[in-house]
Amino acid sequence: MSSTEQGTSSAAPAEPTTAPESAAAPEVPESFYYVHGKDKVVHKVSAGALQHSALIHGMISNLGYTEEQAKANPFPFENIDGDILQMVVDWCNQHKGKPTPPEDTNLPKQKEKLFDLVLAVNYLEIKELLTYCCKQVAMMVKGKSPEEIREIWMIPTDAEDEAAEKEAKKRAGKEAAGETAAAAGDAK
Amino acid sequence: MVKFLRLPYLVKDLVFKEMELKEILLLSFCSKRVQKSIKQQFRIEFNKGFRITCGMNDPRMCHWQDEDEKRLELIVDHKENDKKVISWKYVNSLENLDLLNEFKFLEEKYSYEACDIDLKPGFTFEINGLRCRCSISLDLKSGIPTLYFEKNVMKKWPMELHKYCVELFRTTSDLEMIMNLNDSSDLHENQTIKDSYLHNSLENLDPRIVDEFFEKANIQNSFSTVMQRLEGFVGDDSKLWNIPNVFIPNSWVHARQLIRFTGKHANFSVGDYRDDVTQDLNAFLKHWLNSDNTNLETLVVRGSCSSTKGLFDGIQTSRWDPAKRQAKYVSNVPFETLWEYRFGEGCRFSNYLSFWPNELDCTDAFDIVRQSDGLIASIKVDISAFFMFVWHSRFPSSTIFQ
Repeated sequence: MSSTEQGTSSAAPAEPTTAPESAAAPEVPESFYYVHGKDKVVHKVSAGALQHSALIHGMISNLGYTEEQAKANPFPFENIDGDILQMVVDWCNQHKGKPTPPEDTNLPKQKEKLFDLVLAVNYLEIKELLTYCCKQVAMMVKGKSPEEIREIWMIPTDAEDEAAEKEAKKRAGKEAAGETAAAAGDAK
Repeated sequence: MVKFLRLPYLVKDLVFKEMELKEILLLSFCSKRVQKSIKQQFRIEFNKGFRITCGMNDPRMCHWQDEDEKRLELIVDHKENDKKVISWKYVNSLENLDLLNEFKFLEEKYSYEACDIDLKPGFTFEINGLRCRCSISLDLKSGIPTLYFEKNVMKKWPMELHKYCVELFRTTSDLEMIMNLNDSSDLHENQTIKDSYLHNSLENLDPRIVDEFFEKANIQNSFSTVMQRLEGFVGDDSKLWNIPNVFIPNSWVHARQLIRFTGKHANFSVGDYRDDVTQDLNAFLKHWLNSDNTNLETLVVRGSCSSTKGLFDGIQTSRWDPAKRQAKYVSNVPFETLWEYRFGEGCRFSNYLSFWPNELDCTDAFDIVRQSDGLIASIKVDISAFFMFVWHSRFPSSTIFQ
């Protein structure tokens, strides 16, 4: 596994010394965790940043890893593209310990990535980012005609849906026939 | 790019929450699968049904809209919260439709406003089996789409659209219509309408048109007009007489026809203001006393009643007895909602008190009692109006409206 430690990007404070809201509390060293996506590139992210993700936060709470254990066992998200995970990590770092403004302008603007980003954010259960992403998705079709909406949101026509359904039925029929033939062969 | 239909349920839910009704309607035109998805997931806000407004003739309209434009709205409060969903117009042919030319004409007509529309290529879609081909433009400021259809769908489109929206958004089928009676092309067959309002018009209409309209429109709750005169009176068999709440201050009916009314509340002007309607009102009272009509609650007749003696000729009356009923009548319809034109403000809904407080004071009224069921009615007359209040409840508790 190629491993590149990240998480100290310019937008994220490297080692915050104190949490702003708990100035009187004793200083607690920040713990870090490691995640990687489909590209196996490992990202180092603080526990504070990862709190945005209900999924990862739950995993951290349940596992109770030490720093060494966390480093040795990065959380694998094989279903998320590396660049998408990078966007998510960046967002979590930028919004660490802060409430998200209703109009978050820090979201990546690449519309072609939005679909994958939405799926990743939904999977990682990052509520605020998901709401914002959905706002972006809805914005894509503002002021558009049905034809334009169909193109932007890749909605098949009724004819295309019917053709796909027919094709799927045909395939299922063939598979069923194949299974029956195989079962008959086994019986022999 | 976003493959919308492949988004998880929760995500689609959140996307729908960020969209306006007009956008969701346009989205639904994309395919049957999308329609299904909307029906399964989208929750519409609290509302009172849809309204179709035909032939607006409203100075507040944006300049690129014109008098022929019709629209569908979601009714929330009859005020600023009502949501415009879609507008439409009929054109002779889509083939040669030059929207830019059309807007150029409108721009010249309304030169004081800037033109701000987005013209889109035409498209075809299907609703309730009705295949519709149209062109579309979008108002860039409000985002309201306007569809342009050829006239062959004009008989079917408005009601099919209403039916489609009721099913798509799974909301009440209550329909409100604002229209001109001389253009009832939007009603091609029997149509149930909850409330119907007429645009003001200075034109005198043939009463047969009105009867035809009531023949097609099954009005369930109310019908009102502020200014629309007829060249005669509606027919004795007109369905108008069955509408529960009627407000017609324009002499659509003759006083002798009042016995036809089977609704709950009516406010009529009758005949010519110079006609003495005493005899007809006397006949109406006798008819009510001998009938089993338990629907009537309040009746106001604007007309000249010259003689109280003549009004109650042959009818036994009595003065107020506090042991038999309370002094003040409590109307179940405290407000009358009217669609009216106001100079400089255009057309809008206004709420008026159905009765002034002194009109409801029945301490000086004449009471009549129906022998068959003991129902009391209080009758009040002044120089130009006749009031009848039927006491279905003799000691009702007052409401805040009174």
